[in-house]
Amino acid sequence: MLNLVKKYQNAFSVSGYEAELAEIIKNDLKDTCEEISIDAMGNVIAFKRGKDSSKKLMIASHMDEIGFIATNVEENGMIRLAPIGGINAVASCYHTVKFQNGTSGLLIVEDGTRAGDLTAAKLFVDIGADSAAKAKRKVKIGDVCALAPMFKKLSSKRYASKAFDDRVCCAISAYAALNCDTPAYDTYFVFTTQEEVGCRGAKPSTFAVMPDYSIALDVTPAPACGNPNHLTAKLGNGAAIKIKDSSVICSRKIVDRLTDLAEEKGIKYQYEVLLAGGTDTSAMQITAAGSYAGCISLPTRYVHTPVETIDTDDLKACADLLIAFIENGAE
Amino acid sequence: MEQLYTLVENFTTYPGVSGFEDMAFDDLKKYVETLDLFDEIGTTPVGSFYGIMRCGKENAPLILCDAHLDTVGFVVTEICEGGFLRIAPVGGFAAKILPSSEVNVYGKKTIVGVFASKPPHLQEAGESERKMEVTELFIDTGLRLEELKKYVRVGTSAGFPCKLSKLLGENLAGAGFDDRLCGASIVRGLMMLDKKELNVDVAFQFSGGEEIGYKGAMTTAYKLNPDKAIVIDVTHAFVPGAPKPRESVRAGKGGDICFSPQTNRAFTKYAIAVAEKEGIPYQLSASPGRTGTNSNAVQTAGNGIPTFLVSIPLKNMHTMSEIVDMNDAYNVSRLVAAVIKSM
Repeated sequence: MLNLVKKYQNAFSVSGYEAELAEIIKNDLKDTCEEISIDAMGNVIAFKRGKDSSKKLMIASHMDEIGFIATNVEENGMIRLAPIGGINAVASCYHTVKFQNGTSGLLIVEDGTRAGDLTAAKLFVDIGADSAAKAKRKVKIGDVCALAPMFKKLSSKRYASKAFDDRVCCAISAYAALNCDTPAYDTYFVFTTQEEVGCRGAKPSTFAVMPDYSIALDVTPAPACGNPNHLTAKLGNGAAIKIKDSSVICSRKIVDRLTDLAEEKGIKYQYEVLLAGGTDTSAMQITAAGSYAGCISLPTRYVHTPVETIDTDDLKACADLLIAFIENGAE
Repeated sequence: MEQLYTLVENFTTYPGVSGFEDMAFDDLKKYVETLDLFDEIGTTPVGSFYGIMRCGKENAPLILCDAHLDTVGFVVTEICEGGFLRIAPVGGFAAKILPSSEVNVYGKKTIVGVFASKPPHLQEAGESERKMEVTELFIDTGLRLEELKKYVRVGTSAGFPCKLSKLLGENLAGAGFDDRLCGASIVRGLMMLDKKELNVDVAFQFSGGEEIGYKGAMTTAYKLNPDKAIVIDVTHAFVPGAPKPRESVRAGKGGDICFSPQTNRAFTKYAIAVAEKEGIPYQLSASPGRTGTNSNAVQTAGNGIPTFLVSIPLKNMHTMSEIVDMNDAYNVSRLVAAVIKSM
């Protein structure tokens, strides 16, 4: 599974520009799934037939990550940016960024900016060009960039990277598709687009699938030093079964079923109540006539920074729990 | 009116914090079945309960009446030493109303707790002026930790218990009137109808998830796919000190019919004409935004549904002592019945 994580993590996949990762995932799953397609929004929809075809299960993990879009090239060759998704300006500055065409640059803060005033509007990219003309040969208005890939092993179980949110969950979903026995229901592994800008890929793909049951896979912030935001899911304490976030209250049927399966299979689990932040769970719960929706969350420290940190025991617990649900169903 | 009181008494006893509406389904179903109103009863994955009355005529249009079943409340985020629970809010609250109030914790069994309150003697200077957050508060259950853990987990819901108090006139105080009261009003209205005489089928949806984003209404309206819809919610009745634009909505003056870009003007005017013809008291208001009710969610469900919004004036909304003039609730019942009958 870690190999999948590494592979997916290297692809360029800012919200709205997920095609490269979509092709990689499609290629990985084309032999194990009966049908696989990419829809107009760029979502990858991979289908596996189940024992009971009267019910449908949809699993969603999002391919996109937050990033920036170039809004202006200034006379001195510096590139101004607007954020795509919930950018943490403090965590992003002075890192290397990479544009879709491969151009690298440094994310710099406007001179004289005080820490408290640091927003995405104060950021620009220095690609080493000394004039607007030279910069424009590499980067045009509307080009998008993201933090440059990095992948660091901190200890035998802990890894840090940018964009574990939500590539790591794409890897869990793909791993489950590759390794599960025949699913209980007709199962759609959906790798969604544009989650970071409002779950825009999940809405039409859910409408197309019309699931009875839905499971989202996403990261959830885990506390490190202090816990001022009352985060309930801790790193290393297992798969986090979502109770609520600010976009959804998970269906009790799914929460209870995931709990029972974790108890039964001896999978380490905990509950997650997240006060701020949304997921594709919401879109799957309320599209069309609605579905029973829940979410398995991977506790992740430092979400939306270049050093999002996960624990491989949690990773395994999430995959085990997902596979248990796919194979055993909701009843 | 007596029947309306009975409905309110019943509907306000069920648990059903947003996202946990299914806890009300069994009791609600049992009770609604005794009324013998509906030909079909069902529930949805998003916390909605619905019943459909059939007039028996072929291809009859379907009129939907919506009120929401869910109430604001809390979920447990931490189970602490000494029998205390830390919680997060579900829906909108002013935290300052909570300390020292009673709360039901809907665990494996229902536990009565009280929001802990710091006595003035122990407060630091200026502490009482500071804004309070729900996440800073604790529910005191008085149970030992081991005992409490048997019944409660992270994610257990909690909400206000409803104790009804009859005040002077037809004023009634209690919790969860937003929006159980409106469900009672609709059902009372439907009880005034003889379905065989109608030209339309009628669906009642007691929808889930309103307080967290109108989720039950949008999904159930999509599922039922009605031709027209009447949405009923509570609105803020004027109290001294309220903002000027709210002065026109008064308790005791009838249902508040709302003009809004998020409601259908023709259907709204039609309902007003019916109220005039039948001599049913009503008042008017205008809302430029999304009205803060299910009307927007219902109006935009599926291919779009012409929707009319009427609200019952309520004081102290989202507290354990909401106050309604039951004459208003009854007049809304009459209006619902009259509009359906006229179609």
